[in-house]
Amino acid sequence: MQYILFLLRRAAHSILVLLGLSIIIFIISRVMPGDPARMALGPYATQEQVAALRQEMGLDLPLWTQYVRYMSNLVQGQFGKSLISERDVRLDLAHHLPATLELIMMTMFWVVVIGIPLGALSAVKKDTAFDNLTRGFSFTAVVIPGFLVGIGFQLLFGYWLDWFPITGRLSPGTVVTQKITGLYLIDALILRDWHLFFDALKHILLPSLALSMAGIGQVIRITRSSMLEIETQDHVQVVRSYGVPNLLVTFKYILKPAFIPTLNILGLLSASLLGNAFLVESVFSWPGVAKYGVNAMLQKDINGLVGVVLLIGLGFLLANLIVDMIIGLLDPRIRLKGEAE
Amino acid sequence: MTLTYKQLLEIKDLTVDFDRFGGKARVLNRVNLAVAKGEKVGVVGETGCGKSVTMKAVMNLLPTRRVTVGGSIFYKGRDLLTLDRFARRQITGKEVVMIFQDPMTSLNPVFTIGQQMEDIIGYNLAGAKRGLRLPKRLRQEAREQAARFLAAVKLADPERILNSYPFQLSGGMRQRVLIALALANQPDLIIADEPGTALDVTTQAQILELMDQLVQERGIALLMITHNLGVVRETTDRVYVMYAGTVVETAATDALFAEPLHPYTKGLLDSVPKLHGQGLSAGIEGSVPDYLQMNPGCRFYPRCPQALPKCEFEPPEPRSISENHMVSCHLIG
Ligand SMILES: Nc1ncnc2c1ncn2[C@@H]1O[C@H](COP(=O)(O)OP(=O)(O)OP(=O)(O)O)[C@@H](O)[C@H]1O
Ligand SMILES: [Mg+2]
Repeated sequence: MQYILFLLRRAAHSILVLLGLSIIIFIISRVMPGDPARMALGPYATQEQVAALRQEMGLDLPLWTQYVRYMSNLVQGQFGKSLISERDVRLDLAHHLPATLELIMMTMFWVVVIGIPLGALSAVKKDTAFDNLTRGFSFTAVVIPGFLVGIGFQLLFGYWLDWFPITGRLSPGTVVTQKITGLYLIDALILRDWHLFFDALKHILLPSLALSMAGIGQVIRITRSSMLEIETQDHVQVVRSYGVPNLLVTFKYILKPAFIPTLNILGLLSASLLGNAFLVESVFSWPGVAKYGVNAMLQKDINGLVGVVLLIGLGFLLANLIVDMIIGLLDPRIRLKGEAE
Repeated sequence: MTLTYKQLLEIKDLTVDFDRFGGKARVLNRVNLAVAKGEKVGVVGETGCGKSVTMKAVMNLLPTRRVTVGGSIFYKGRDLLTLDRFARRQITGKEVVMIFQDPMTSLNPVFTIGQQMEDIIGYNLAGAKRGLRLPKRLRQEAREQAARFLAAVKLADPERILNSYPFQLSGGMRQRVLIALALANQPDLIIADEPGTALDVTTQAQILELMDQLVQERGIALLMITHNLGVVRETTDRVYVMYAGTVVETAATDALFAEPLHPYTKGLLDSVPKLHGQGLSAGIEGSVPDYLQMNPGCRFYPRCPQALPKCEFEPPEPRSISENHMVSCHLIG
């Protein structure tokens, strides 16, 4: 019961954040220098044409009226038409989102399956050569920007070794017979289309690994340090003193409480991933939403921009809601009391 | 193989060095301490004088890195320090158990009391042939045993306690859970590191009385660390006084209170507020010095009100005053 209340509180909090975000992005999109209508129509359009577009978009109205319109559209889930593609922004987003979603999910996958075991092992083998190596790696991984790693990967695995393709989501000959989720790996699994699966995997490997490096580094560090901290706590000494096997102490009594800070980091990571995704998407010509968003910004496509920003905000809040949910499941103090110590 | 032994636990010349930044710190310097079967022994001394380190050495809980342990710890005549990890685990955690100082931090916050007790009792029931997963039957048996011992420490509704998380219980209840856990393995010796000092005075008194009664009934020996001289006087048969990693004096409890010989012991007894006499007395000036800069002679020399010149360079040897009374001081003998 407390748990439901806790989740509801977090959800309400998320809605407030989203509201704040919508206001901020409204203000930014209206005060950005440059005239969206002029940018959309190009330098050869006449003054009348520009004025007509401004009127159509409601840009000639007072700011307050614009805001009311904007909000009432948002509430109905309307973002308007993109000034670049001249399509409904929702269509554009639906078109670009799966590519980014797939990239980020794959990235998160690496972060979890590489970062957590390395961090845990590093804590268990504290001060050994393995630990020093892992720490060195995690430190380096955090410091080097993802797009540089991406370029490095492209040179090494794409250009010199020629193991992996370096651009796009699929090879030219590969077709997706049926779009189900738009995430090719998952669609391929559903369709049992192994050719598609391996082709998509080959393409996503380098960009997702490049994007995951910083996260892997952070997760290694936080997992290691929180395990070492919990290791010294009395309750671990108690189970140790009674001769409970070491493996069980480590993977049950230390790892479970140590997981909570790691999960928090994963939630935060989802935000920085979206930021870094743009650069990695650019490097690998990945047709994702981050790239679409930056184009919208550069070309003053205000409707497209609002759509992307709110979508990303929503994604971040959802990711954190999921993290809160899992933390609640792990930590009885949250589940039963609605608060952490 | 059965060994003949006089003492249940006998610590001989136990020395512990920690490699610290800046050098080796000799935190325990030739500690000698013994507990007979069913005996209740107290260990007193200021904070930082090495009481917990001594007990952790017995329980094999000292960190493995940057620590050197010397001397011997005989349990029923066998030196624990020469046993391998597995042989040692048959003794510590089973025949010798430890109750930690703070009940608020001694239970894992994200597991129920039942989960923790089942694992601890279950793995001891499983004995040598333990795997990583407890068989269901053992788990069930461990749970029943846990419930029995929760009832023995006078906790009402053991089933509810087993299903609770630590934060749902009061400090006193948690301390009782820890005592139940210690008793559940039917040990011969319980080491209690300042049991209940984190609790309020009334609860602490109840807990100590309960513990005293439970070990008495079962003939379990008790080695109790405490700051509270009143508790020592009431519960223990014999006392060790520790200072800066050395045992400075040991005697039967009554004898020690009647006739303390070491200047440190005198100071310690003096620091207790008295109900009659001239109000509060001074106690001992200062605190335990840094282990990296210990005096080469008597470790108490820098604070000793009666120090002799030779105390500075010559460490005093333990001397027998009477059958049960030993003291390490140049002033005596
Ligand atoms: N793992 C360790 N590494 C280095 N030094 C340690 C370690 N554990 C304890 N010490 C040192 O050993 C000394 C004795 O500590 P110990 O915990 O035994 O004191 P204590 O007598 O139990 O004090 P208290 O009454 O406060 O519990 C302290 O100076 C402490 O800094
Ligand atoms: Mg202590």
